[in-house]
Amino acid sequence: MTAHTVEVHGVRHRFGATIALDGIDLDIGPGITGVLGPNGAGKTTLLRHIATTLAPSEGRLRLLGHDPATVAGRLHVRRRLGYLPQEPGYHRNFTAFEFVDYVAILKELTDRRTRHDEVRRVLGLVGLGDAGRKRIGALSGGMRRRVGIAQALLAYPELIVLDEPTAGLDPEQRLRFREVLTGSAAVGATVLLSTHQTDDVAALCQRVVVVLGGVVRFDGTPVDLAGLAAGRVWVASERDPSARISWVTGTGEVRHVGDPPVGATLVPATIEDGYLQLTGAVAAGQTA
Amino acid sequence: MNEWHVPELAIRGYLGGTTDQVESCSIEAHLTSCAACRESLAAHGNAETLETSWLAIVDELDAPPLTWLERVLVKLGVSPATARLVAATRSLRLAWMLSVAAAIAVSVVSSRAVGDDPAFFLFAAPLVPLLAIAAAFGPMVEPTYEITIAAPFDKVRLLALRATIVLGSALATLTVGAVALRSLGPAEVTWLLPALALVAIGLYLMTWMPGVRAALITGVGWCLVVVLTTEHQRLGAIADGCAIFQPAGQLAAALMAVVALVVALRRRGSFDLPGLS
Repeated sequence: MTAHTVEVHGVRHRFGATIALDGIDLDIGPGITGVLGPNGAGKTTLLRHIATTLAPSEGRLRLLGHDPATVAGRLHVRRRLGYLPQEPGYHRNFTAFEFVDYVAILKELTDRRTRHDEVRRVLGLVGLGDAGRKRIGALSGGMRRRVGIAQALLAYPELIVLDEPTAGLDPEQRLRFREVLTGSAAVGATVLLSTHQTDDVAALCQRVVVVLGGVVRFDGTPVDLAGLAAGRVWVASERDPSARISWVTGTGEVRHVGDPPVGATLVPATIEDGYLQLTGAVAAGQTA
Repeated sequence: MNEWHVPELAIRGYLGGTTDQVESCSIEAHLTSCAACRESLAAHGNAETLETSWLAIVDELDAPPLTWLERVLVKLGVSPATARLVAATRSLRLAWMLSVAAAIAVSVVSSRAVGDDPAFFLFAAPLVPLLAIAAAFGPMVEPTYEITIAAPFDKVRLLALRATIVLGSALATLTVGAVALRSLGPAEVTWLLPALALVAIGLYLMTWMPGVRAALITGVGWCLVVVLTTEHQRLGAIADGCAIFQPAGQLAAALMAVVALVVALRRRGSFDLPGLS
């Protein structure tokens, strides 16, 4: 019996002449896995395959032990899936409660009382317990995002796919979100989240996958990703043009990522440095 | 500050189920804001029963109110969950308006365009409105399309539910239009009846089988009816046009729609079973 809840083998996806995914191979088990990559790298396409809303042009997937290419397999997966699309879209004239309740019916929670209790639970998890009666059109962008996260947590899904869940969340909401996700992972769920927030990945994920140009360019732990930039991050008082990338920090120092000059003051690398080193190396046609 | 509290006798009556509906509602409304009375109530009864009752009260007060359409559907025997899905169709305003408008347009255009060879229009009669409805609830219009696709609820079943309410709305609109405007007549109204009949039969079949299979059976069934009817006409059995366009044909479609909806309602328990999806 396999320990992997998500198996992606040789998956390619074309949108017309554009190749969005170019042979992805991944095996993912329970826990939180972060998917990083620049815009247009193929993260959302990959997540849509895993959320069963898109079929691959080539290759195959196996999710929660089922083949999503079959009707029965998709149904089994969808019954145990929680999914937040990148742009979920909301019925703005629904209240938050009504919207999550509507999704709960689509998730086959037919008993009214049980469903309402579940809707209250997930709205409470994302801190919207008191905002259930507000119209979605009247909610802020961050609150709407939390409504989206709430519907993805309905019925304790075993596979949770979240596409940029923290976009628009304030720092307090992001911390709360981390608490909720780690709670789901603690009870054995497989969580995949795509994000541009490297600090979310560093704080949450046991594993990180970097997708660039439709290909997996890195697959390891956040510490391993940070390690890609070990010995390649330095600070100086002036901008060094030889650096791959550099920026002025809040303390007024200039932080550089690249090949350090002799005598540079090296500093510990972060996951963000590793990511920048990797994306920069790929853009420059080098092997990271 | 609230000085009034539920009298001891009323609490006993409430717990014993002897208070009438008005008095029970009054007590429940007071309990939501009075901790002292809740404690008093708790002291009288079994804690588990009270907890269950209290949660039920909270749910009644907190849950979104039923819309008039949901209330009507529930009275007709539709399950509350299905009623909510059907009622939500009207809340998806843009998609709903587009689909009703498309169904009306298809009906009016088709009823006037049909000529001596109605076979194409006969095939299209129920299918084009359904395609228009499906398109109106597609990814370009329906904001929650992606979430809906990833949910286990049978999408064909959802389409059938939406089509029922859309076709019902379009029929009502056309009927009012036919009464109010001379330019509209019974032909435009009755053109939608085959579509409604097929959807109703499909809904009935969906109490026995998955949505795709039910849709295939109704679709093939309709094609057979069209072939047999047009063949019947070609052989000269009917002197004045195709049987489906005659009042008897339209009446048969309406009757089929009503009968199928009634029997589907009688089997609503099976319709709501997730295992059939």
